[in-house]
Amino acid sequence: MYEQALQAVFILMLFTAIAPVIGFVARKARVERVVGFFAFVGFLTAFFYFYQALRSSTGSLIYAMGPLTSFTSYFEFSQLSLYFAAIFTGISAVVALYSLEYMKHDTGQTIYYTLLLGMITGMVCLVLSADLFTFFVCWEIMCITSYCLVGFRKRFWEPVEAGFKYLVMSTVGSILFLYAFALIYGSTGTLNIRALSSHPAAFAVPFVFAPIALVIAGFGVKASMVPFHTWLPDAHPAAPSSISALLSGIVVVTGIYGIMRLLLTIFHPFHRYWGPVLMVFAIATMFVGNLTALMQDDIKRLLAYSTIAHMGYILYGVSLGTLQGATASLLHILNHAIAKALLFLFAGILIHHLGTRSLEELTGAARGKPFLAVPLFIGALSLAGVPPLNGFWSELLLVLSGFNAAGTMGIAAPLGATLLLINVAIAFAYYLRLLLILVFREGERTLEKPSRLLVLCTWILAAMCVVIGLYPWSFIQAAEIAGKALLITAP
Amino acid sequence: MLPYAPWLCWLIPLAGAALVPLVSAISGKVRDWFSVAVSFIAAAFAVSMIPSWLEGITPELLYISFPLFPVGVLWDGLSIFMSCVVTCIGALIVLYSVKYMEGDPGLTRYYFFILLFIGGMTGLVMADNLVQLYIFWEVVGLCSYALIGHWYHRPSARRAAIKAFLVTRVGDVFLLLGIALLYSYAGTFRFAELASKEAYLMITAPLTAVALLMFGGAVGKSAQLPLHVWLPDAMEGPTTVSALIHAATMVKAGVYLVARIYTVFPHFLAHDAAWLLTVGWIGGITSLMAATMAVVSMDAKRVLAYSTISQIGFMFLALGVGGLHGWYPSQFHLMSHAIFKALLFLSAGCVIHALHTTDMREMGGMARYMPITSITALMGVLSLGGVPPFSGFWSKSAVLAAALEEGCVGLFVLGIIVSAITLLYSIRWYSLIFLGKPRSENKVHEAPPEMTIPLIILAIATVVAGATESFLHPLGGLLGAVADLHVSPVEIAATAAALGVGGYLGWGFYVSRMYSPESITKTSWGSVIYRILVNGYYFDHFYDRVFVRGFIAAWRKVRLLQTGFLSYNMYGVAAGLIILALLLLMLGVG
Repeated sequence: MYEQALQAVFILMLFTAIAPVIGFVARKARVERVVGFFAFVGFLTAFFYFYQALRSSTGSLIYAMGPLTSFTSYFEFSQLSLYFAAIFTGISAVVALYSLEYMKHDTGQTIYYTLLLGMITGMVCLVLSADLFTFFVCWEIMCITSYCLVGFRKRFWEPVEAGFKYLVMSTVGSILFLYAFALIYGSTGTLNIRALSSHPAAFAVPFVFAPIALVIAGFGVKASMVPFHTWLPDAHPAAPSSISALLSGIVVVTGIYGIMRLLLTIFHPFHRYWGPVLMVFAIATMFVGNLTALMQDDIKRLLAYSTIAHMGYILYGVSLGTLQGATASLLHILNHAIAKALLFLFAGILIHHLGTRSLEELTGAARGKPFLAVPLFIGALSLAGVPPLNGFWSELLLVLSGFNAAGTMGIAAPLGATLLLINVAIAFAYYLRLLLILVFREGERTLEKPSRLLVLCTWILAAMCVVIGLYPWSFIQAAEIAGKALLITAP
Repeated sequence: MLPYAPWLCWLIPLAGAALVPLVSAISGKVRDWFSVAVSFIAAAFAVSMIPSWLEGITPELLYISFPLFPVGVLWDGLSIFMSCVVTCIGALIVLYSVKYMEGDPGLTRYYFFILLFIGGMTGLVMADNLVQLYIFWEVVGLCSYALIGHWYHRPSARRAAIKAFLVTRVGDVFLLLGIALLYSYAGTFRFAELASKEAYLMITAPLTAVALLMFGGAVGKSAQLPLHVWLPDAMEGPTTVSALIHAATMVKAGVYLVARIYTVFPHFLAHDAAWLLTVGWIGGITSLMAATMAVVSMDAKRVLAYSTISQIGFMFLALGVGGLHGWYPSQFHLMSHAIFKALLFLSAGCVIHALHTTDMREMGGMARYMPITSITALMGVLSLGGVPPFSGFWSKSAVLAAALEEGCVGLFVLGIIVSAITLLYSIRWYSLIFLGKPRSENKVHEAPPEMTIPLIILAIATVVAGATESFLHPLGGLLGAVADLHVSPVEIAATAAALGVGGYLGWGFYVSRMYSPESITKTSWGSVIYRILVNGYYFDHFYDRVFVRGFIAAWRKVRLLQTGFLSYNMYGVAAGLIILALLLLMLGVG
């Protein structure tokens, strides 16, 4: 029932609004940590509702917010939006649980959790929005809160600088696609996505290339597409690890969502123009991400580059323009979100206890500690695409859909799939290097007594990797239904 | 047949692996014998399939239909044969491990991965579709990685583990590409459906490319040229692991895969000259090069590793001969090699266990102290060298006869040369370890019965396996009628000559010491050849120069391009936008 999903949205909004009040009271009572529990409960409840709605509903439902004018906000509940909403809130719930311990010694916890709730609410509303105006407003809610979260530890220089860089580049991205929205509105007179998708004739070649290029570049900044990716390797490591997990796992995905929504839903009739172009950029993204990640010494920078590479894989699936490609991309979004959040949370444990991000200084940190090493192994091997873990299935589906798209895209699609596989093999080297350094080598400092709560969070995500890996069918199905909602105009 | 044997023969070891960490909480001894019990039960389930299959009974549950990726088991001779080889040798090696690995601190991890490996490998050969096969293909690769790096406190073991995983992954890329290419044409992963569509696919799909890509996967997994470099280094793992994974079973996965696609597309591949020539000649050349490297290596385990590469090359040579004549001997040789190579590794393990070294210069004269081990090792060596009446003789002459019968004279000559070299290094290996005067001062005793019993069983099997070759005949039924090999006088004469030359040289250099190996390596030509062989034809140097150091140097240069300046990043955004616009306009106009 989509009513449940609507309730979940209200719960998130309500929790965001109440969080500062709770925080204020809690600080007076000297139990500021309560606000963390509050956020955790909010995310968990919302996740539960979204999950229920995803399981029990079909079709889609559109809500209009406020009086009906040309700028009325529309929310659309469909399998697609709920698929994303469930991923966002699910990962956030784990991260909120993790933050209880991780952010214990930081000041300003009320602000932290309020921003966190605000960011996730913005993202959930973003995927629910059915018109481009609401989309842009939610996008900016998400962006502004995430700038603050990157620069949360404002006493240090690095987060502030990285946050500023992120702000400038992300704003440029927003401006680019805002201009695209303006062009779309100018040529059609509507911003409603459903209405736009049913009027492809309103656009004409070559004038349609302007909004397409602006959309790819604008969302490409957020999705860390090469050459728009340069903010990411600075911003993701600089944020607190719990926030890095969200940024790398789900916030970059909103850029992909924007590209998917605009290109696959609205501009799908022009696929033969944007498909090859997007594929070129996707492949460049994979290569840059993977090759650069090979030589990193900072554990979080390494993971950030690996995120860039994975965005390349996902964009490749989008560029195919087929249902199978979209399904593979959507499944990979889920798998990457889980595994990458796991690895960032794991890096956070090391940083929390040993106080360094340098792999050289972290040598042997998890040596002889199976309860630390097992989740690390699962996360790294999952991203490396080793069966029977979850990452394998989506990478397999990406390759298969590439070969199956040969009919519409010619030799480019199988060629791209080949390059993708080569990238998966290259990426394997740095995941193994990560394991080698952290688990196998002898080092001076071993993590003796890691916090139980932090380790528990990584185990929850590792369990998800194994569950999806061993029983992928229902997740593939969910991704496929979401993909169908995305490709409503496709023949 | 035991109930649900096609499923349980691989699910039992997998479940056993999951239980190992729990059982180890009770006590170490319980965990060890629990693992032994699990592996023997799995072997019993696997062997119990043979009678039912021979009677022609088909079990009920073979296939569970999930959307897109179905799950099923394959009920045919090749699968059952391979699963029996894997589980039986696996069970004997787990039994041997109880004493060999006694007192090791990482035993829970060891048994977990060994059982996971047995389950994964059996699952690989029982898989009825390509995706399931690929999953287990990677699972066994993961186990191999974890077990090579079992003693991870040694830097060389860590390096070898990573090298093995990465190099085999190169092959996996080819395999996955082959699977994807085939799927895009056939729309199914199941072997049975693919086989039924063969006539249609022969016209529509590029089957040669598919088969070559899959052979690429086999080249990585089975350590063939040019991806063989990981296997000699993999000897850093415990000897039991080398015996099970890197001699008897996992490295045969490539041979299994090629044999399997042969059964799926028999009519096409039998006449596909490009594929047959590639498989046959890569196998043959690998076989020759690895054999020559085995002659100069001084490490007891590395000699066996080179020999494994060489013998697997021999199996690919047989597959490349084509037709039933080549296919069937390759599987026969696979079985006899699995038995005698496991036997040789385990015998070497007894000596290594006693002396704590793998360097053959510190061994010698072991026959006096370890009579059982030395006799079983002798039987293994004779089988490897292809001396009658041991199994190696029968399987090798079957391969050679097949090559001659199908008219592959080049491959036949190559095979004869390899046979001669094989006998030479077999004698050298045995003589350096077991004959002559002891070169170590350690007090050495015979190994305990837990270790010698598997040796004796395997030694008996090397004799029996040759004689009961007819047991394998129904296997040939997969490809149609069972072919009778006609052993020609040419083949007999050539084999006898090869054995004579190899045996004479081996005897002269290493047993009677009539000639000294140094007299050859001191000559100018001899020293050059010796250096090339010791360095493994410089493959490792080449990969290190080009891929490792070359990449690092290139990355240093690229690193200079990265900058923290925000304005440069903005130029990047602008450049990206311009490229985008240009590409779109190019496509739109063109």
